[in-house]
Parts: sequence; C-alpha cells; structure tokens
Amino acid sequence: MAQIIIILSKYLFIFYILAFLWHGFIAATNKNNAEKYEHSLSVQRIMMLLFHINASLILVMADPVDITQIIKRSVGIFVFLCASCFITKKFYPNSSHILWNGVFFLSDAGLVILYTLNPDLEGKQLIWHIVGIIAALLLPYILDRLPRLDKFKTFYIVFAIILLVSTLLFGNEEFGSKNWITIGPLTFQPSEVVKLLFIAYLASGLSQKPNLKQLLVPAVLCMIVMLCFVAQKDLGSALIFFMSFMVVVYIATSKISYFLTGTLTAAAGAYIAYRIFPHIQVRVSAWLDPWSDVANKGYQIAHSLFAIATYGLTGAGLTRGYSTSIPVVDRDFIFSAVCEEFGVIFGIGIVLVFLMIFLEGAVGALNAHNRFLCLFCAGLTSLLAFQSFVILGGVTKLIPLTGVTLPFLSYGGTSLLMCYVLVAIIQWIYQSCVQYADLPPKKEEPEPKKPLKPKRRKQAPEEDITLDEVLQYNRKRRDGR
Amino acid sequence: MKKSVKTVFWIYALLFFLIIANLIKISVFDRDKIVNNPYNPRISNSSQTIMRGTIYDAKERPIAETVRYDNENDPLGRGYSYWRKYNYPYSFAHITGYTGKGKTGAEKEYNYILESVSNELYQSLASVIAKKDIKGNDIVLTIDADLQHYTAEQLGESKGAVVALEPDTGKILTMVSYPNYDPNTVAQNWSELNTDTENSPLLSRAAQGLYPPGSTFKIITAAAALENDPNLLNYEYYCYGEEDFQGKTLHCYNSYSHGSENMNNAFAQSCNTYFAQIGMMLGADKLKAKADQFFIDPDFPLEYSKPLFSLNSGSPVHELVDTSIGQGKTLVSPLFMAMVTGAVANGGTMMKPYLLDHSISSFGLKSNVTIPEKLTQVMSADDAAKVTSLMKQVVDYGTGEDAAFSLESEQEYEVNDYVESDGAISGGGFYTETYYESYPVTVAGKTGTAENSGGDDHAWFVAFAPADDPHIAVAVLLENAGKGSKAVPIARNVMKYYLSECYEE
Repeated sequence: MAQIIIILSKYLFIFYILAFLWHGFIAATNKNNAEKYEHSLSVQRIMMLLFHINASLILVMADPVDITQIIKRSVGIFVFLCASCFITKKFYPNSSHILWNGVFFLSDAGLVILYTLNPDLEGKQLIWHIVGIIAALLLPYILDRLPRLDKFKTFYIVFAIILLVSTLLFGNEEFGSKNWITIGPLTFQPSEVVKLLFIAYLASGLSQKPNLKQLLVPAVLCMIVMLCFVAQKDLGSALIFFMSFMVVVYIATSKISYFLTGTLTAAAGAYIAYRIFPHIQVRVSAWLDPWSDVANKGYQIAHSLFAIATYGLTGAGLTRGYSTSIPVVDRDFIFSAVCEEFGVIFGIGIVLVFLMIFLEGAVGALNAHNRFLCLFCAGLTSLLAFQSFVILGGVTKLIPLTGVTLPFLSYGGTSLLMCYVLVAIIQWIYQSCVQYADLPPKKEEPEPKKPLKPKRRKQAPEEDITLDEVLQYNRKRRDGR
Repeated sequence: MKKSVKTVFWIYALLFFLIIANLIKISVFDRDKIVNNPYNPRISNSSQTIMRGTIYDAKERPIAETVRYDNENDPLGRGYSYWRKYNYPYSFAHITGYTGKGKTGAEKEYNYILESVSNELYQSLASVIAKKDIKGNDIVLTIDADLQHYTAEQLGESKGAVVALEPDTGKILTMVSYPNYDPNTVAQNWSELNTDTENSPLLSRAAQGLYPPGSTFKIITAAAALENDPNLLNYEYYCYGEEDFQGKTLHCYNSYSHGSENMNNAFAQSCNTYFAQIGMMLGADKLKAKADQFFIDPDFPLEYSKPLFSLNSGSPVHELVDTSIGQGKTLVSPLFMAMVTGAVANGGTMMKPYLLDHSISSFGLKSNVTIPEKLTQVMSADDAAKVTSLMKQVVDYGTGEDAAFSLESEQEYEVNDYVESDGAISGGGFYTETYYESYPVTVAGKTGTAENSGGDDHAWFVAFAPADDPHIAVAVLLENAGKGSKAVPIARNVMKYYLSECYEE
C-alpha cells in the first residue's frame, strides 16, 4: 500500500509544482488585477501545503519506527510555512508574494529531502529557517530607520576586508575551503557576509553615474577580495563575487565594453589560475570527462549524474532513492537528490521556481527609481541567481563544479540565514518602490505612475526620488497604519 | 540603466534554460550510457520485493526465470520468497551468469532492465488487489537455445569454446565454453568452483580466454598483403619445410615441405614459411597498420578480454616473423576470431557483437531493441572477396577439407500409381511423394594450430557459410587438442545445424 502511495505521489508532486509555477505565472502577469492576483497566490500556497502534507504522509509511512518525531517535525514545518505566509503578508504587504511563495516552496522541498537524507540535519535546518524568517521580519524595521544607506560605502568595504583578513588569519578548513570561522559553538562562513557588504559598497559607490577613473578603486578592491577568496580555495565564491561585480558595474554604466573587458580579464586570470593550481586542473578534467576516472577524480560528478539519470523523468519516488551514495549530498549535491527522488521534471520545476524568484527580483530593480536601490536590488538578486546557476550547472555537468550551496535547499546555517537576509533586502526595496507609485508627484515631472510602461519610462529621469524620501514615506506609511 | 537590468536578467533566464536543456539531455538522451555505467550503485541493486524479469532465448523460451517458493520465514511476511531458476544450467552458464553469489553475465549486464518495473502503478495495484507479483522487465537474447544446446553437445567434454555470430548484424548465435557450471547451485559450490584453477569453470573461455591465434592470423596477414600489393596473390615461393629468417628458423607443421606455391596453395596448406616471407616483405609497420584495424575493443556486453597485438617498427625480426603466422605476442579470444571471420564474410565490415535482442515490458511492449551497429571497416569489399576465395580453398583441398557439408532440401513430386498387370488395372490416382535432395554448401574457413608454452598445441578453426551468402561465422577453439583440423568437425556440425534447423530467410 505504501508503495502505491509513493508511486502515485510521484505524479502528484509533479502536479503540485506545475500548478505552483502556473499560478506564479498568472500572478506575475496579473499584478493589476487584485482579485486574480490574490487568488493565484492562494492557490500557490495551497499547492505548497499539499506538497508538504503529501510528502509528510510518505515519510510517516516509510519509516514507522519513529512516527512521533516525524509527525512533530512535519507539523512544525507546516506551522512554519503557514506562519511565514501570514507574517510576510502582514509585515511586507507590498512586497512580492510570488517571490516569498517561491522561497517557502524551495525551503519545504529542501526540508523534505533533507529528512530522507539525514533526519537530524532536517531538525537543525528548520531552526535556521526560523532564525532566517525572524531576521527577515526584523530587517525592514531596521532598514526603515537607518538613514541614508547609500552613504556608508567606506564602512561597508572596511568591514568586508576586516572579515576577509580575519578569515585568512583565523579561519579553519572545511569541505576543502579555508573559509570558516569558529566563535564559541558557532561556525560560520564570513564570505557570505562579505558578498553582501561588497554589493552594498558597489551600489553606494556607483550611485552617481561613474566614469572610468571612478571605477578604478572598486575594480582594484574587487581584485583584492577575489584574490582572498582564491587564497582560501573558495573558487565558487570568487566566481559568484566577480560576476556580481561585473553585473553591478554593467548596470551602473550600461557599457557592454566594460563587461566584456572585465570578462576577458577574468578569463585570462582563470586560465592562469588553471595553470598554477593543480586542484583546479583536477576539477576541470573531472568536468570534461568524469567517466574515465569514476573511482577518484570523476567520483562526485559521476555519482551526481547517476542520481539524476537513473530514475529518469519521474524519479524513484520519495524515500526510494540511493542519494546517500553522492558525496556532500546534503549541501552541494542536494539538487541531484531532489532529481533522483522527485524526478527530473520536478527538478526542472525547481529550476523554474528559482527563475521565478530572480525575475521578481529583477522587477524590483526595474521599479526602483533610485539608482542606489536599483543597483542594490539588482546586485543582490544577481548574487543569488549566479550562485544558484553555479551549483545547478555544476552538479549537472554543464560547467565545472565549484562547491557552493544551493539557496534555500542546501543544508547550512550561515548560507541559509544570508539567503533570507538577501531576500528580505530585495523585498524591502521591492515594496519601497511599489509604494512610490502612489507618492504625490514631485518636481516638474508629473508622471511618476506605472513605471513599468515603456512609453513613460523613456521620458522619466532615472533619479526621480531620493532615498531619504523613500524612507520617510515608508515610515509615515507604517506609522499611519 | 533599466535596459541593462533587463539585459542582465534575460541572460540569467537564458542560463537557467541552459540548465533545463542539459537536464533533459542527461535524463533522456544520455540516460542509457549513464545508467549502465558499472560504477552506478543503483544498477546492481537487487530487490526482494519484486520478481526479477525472465531471460528468454531467441524463441522466447525461458532460460532463467524467477519463481515463488513457500517460505515460512520470509522476512517480508508474505509466506513465500523468490528463487532464480536456470533451465539450461550448463550450456547457458556463461551467458546468463549467476545471481547466487554476486552477479555475472547477462544477469549483471542487464540487471537494471531485469529489476526495472514498468507500468509500476498498475502492477502495484494488481499486487495489492489480485496478489500478483510485481515483475521486472523481461529480456530476449539473440541465442537460440536449441543451437546452444547442440553446440554444447558437440564441444562435449573438451576444454575450449565455440562462438558463432551472424556476419551482417553481429548477432551472437551461440557461445559455449567448457568447462562450465550450474548457475542454480553456484552459492553452494562456490569454494569448489572458485578454487578450481585447473579447469576454471567460471571463466567464459569464449569471451575472456586469450590464446595465440596460430595460423588463423594468416587471414590478417593475407589482408595486409592484398591491400599493399594485389600482385602478392600470385607471389611464387618455394617452401622447404623450414627457412631461416635472419637467424630465426621457422618450421612448417612437421617440417613438411610444400614445394613451389603461390598464396592460394600456401593459404590452403597453411604454409608458415610463405606467410613469414610475406610478413618480411611487408615489414612490421604495414602489418601493424592492418592489424590495428582488426584489433579494436570488441565492445561486447558481457565480460570479455581485449585482444592483444604488439608489434612496432622497432620489433626484432623474429617477432615480426612469429607475428605473421599468429605466434609471437598476439593473443585473441574465440569471440574476437569469430568477429574477424564475420568481418571477412561481411565484405570487410566488422559488426559490433550483441546479445540482447530486446526487452519486454509488463504489457508485452518491446523496448531496448538492439540495432546492429558497425564497429569498423577492416578491409575493402574487394579484398574481403579475395580472402574469402583463399578461405574457400582451405575447405576445397586444404587443411579444412572436413568442413564441407551438404544440406538436404525437401522436394515433392507427383506419382501416378496406375498399374496394369495381367490385364487388370489398379490404382489410377495421383499422389505426391516427398524426397530429400542434398546440395553442397560452400564453406570458407581457416585452420590454426597455436603453439603454446604451457602444453600441447591449441586447435583453432574459423569458418563461415555459405561462402557466397554467409549466414553464420563460427570460431572453434580446443585447448591442447593438437592439430587445427581437430576443431573442424565441430564447426561444420554447428554451421550445418544452424542452417538446417534454425536459420529462417
């Protein structure tokens, strides 16, 4: 009987995620139609909860030994999901709920798969989720009260460099990278924070349209930070960091030539690094041909591909996979485990959920009529997007593998917390700028409405409003409620 | 600025669609290759909850099947367990392999198909409602059990192997090795089977055994000669029974002098000095170039040994001389020699040998149908025809005369039983009578007597028939049996049996 439910659920899971995506699409295209928008969001939430209940049912049946623990956890997650939906609705009324739903769906899928891999990790991860959502809850209050975020660029970069140097000095090595710091019982990765600080630095530094000279200082600093990452053998972070830098510079200057020059320089740098460091050569050769040395060099990537391909499009069924044979499956390779148990169609759905999240982030950046906010939002979204791409492409042998975590799915405290912080900032910017739509018209230009319409946008200056005004308005609104 | 934001995120969207395209590529197009990698821990998995699929012969007779037996101590509490039953225990031993102690053979190679459950939802429902077994997919092999059984009988209790394949497809028709074992009782007899180094019954001699090819290698030497200089076919040489090649003295069998001969006679009589002379004239480079075309990885689905050939321009003369007549460091398996013979029969195209015809899902649908695949072109069709005519003469008047056989075809004719005797007429009706008309089948072949340091010579015979429209290519190897002609009758009988009993147009 349990087997029948597991097999039947394979198709149900695919249905949930497809319905979730479809209603995400409907909601995204009907933002002006409040009724349709709300309805689609509700359907998304229902799909998410159905997914959770269905998965929990299977977990309870598959392992009848420790039923109370499973039920406790499942109910805990259920409460967490409902509470999160409620909290975000209440405290971020004008944020992108499509984005929030995406985040919670990914979190739930991650928790379910973590339970099948290692029930203990799932418990810890749930606590980090709760910490993350509390942080996300507090952030808008803090951000609304902080004056002029765009004026602290020196502070951001100094703090970032202090963190990096201290990692180099006091860091300890885990998973092949020397980028962990232990303070008391806590182990965390400063590189996650450094990325956020650097984006903040860039966004504030480039909030006045820069010329080539003014780009020189950020570029040199970027180089230094990247070298620090390379020295810590944290290639994934170096890559993500570099791409985010290039994206912010490109958006700030709109000059494709800068982007190409930077990319070519980086390619040259990557080639030099490839020639110097043997561990990079090993990775590249494992990527080019994992099959010639499955037992050693190609082990990770080959086992990831075995997991993805063996059970094909519909997967093995929850709890029926062999994902524990993949190394570091709970962190870097969690996507392979998802593909194995839920099937590749579901895996493609997960990729699309990520895409949905990032496109919503892009909408936030597009709506922001303040250079700093636009750059900040685009930079942070780009950070998350490229990180997801690096690891998704890595485990599917599209690009060489560099070990980074998959946002919201992988096990890992700091990285999960930082993902929540990033999303909270993106959402804060998103809702600040949506609210801007009903601000009283300023200056001579009386056309602040519907910034997305291309006709109007052409005439509207980029800098419609200062950050102070946005913040003041946010505060006023909140107090008035 | 806004435009740049859009550009950037369109690029991200593109990157994510690349991931999706790659996922589809992995899980749909590259799937077979990835799944069947021997390192994949999922393919060797064996489940007690499902009934393993059946292995059928070419005519869908079960060779290995899983059956229920009552078991009160069943760990799953069903009151029964599954048992793997092998219906042709000895003759198919090296084909099916066993499941009792790890897995080998087809059981190992096609484990994933045998353990995969098709129409899983339907089967699970049927098992709950109708208490039916959840059954893995069945596979159908290319081997006809009748032929396999007959071949095993022919080989009898001589150590050796027989491999036959269809030249134009690479389909394995029969593959028998002796000594063999009973897969039903492998687990019980494990220590005995595993420690018997003298007979090594677990070894599939047909695919894993490596032997010097002896004179059967002259097929390759002749092909090299004909490609480089077609006139060598008429090259005249006087054989004294032995010859000195720059210090290396070479004998013909029993130092028999073949006298004056061209390639036709020399091939038919398997003259060593003649082909050593040809090898000397070609040189190591040209011989190696031709041999390299033949000596490729057979890419056979079951466990096999790759053929070995080592010769290069720096090799000493005695090695070149030895290699030209199939001695030296060359080592081949009977399967590989069958492929070489099949390539000659197939106009110079070597096909990839295969064992799995197709698999059958629970609803009786065919899948995994093997499509014959070309492995390599070893010589031109012209040269193949010339080598074929050389090989025909081996059977016409040479060392393989015993391989000639006739087939009988059923003929009918009408009889009128009208009889007139003593003025009385009886009968007067027409009826048909059948009679058998025998007609000769032309066979092309080559014998080989492989010297080996470990004991008596190995006897080889490779052949295909009918020579002008080949349906079967066969290689026979008898360990320590002496002269190559000992292997000839087995090959003849197998070919005859196949053409008369199994082959259908």
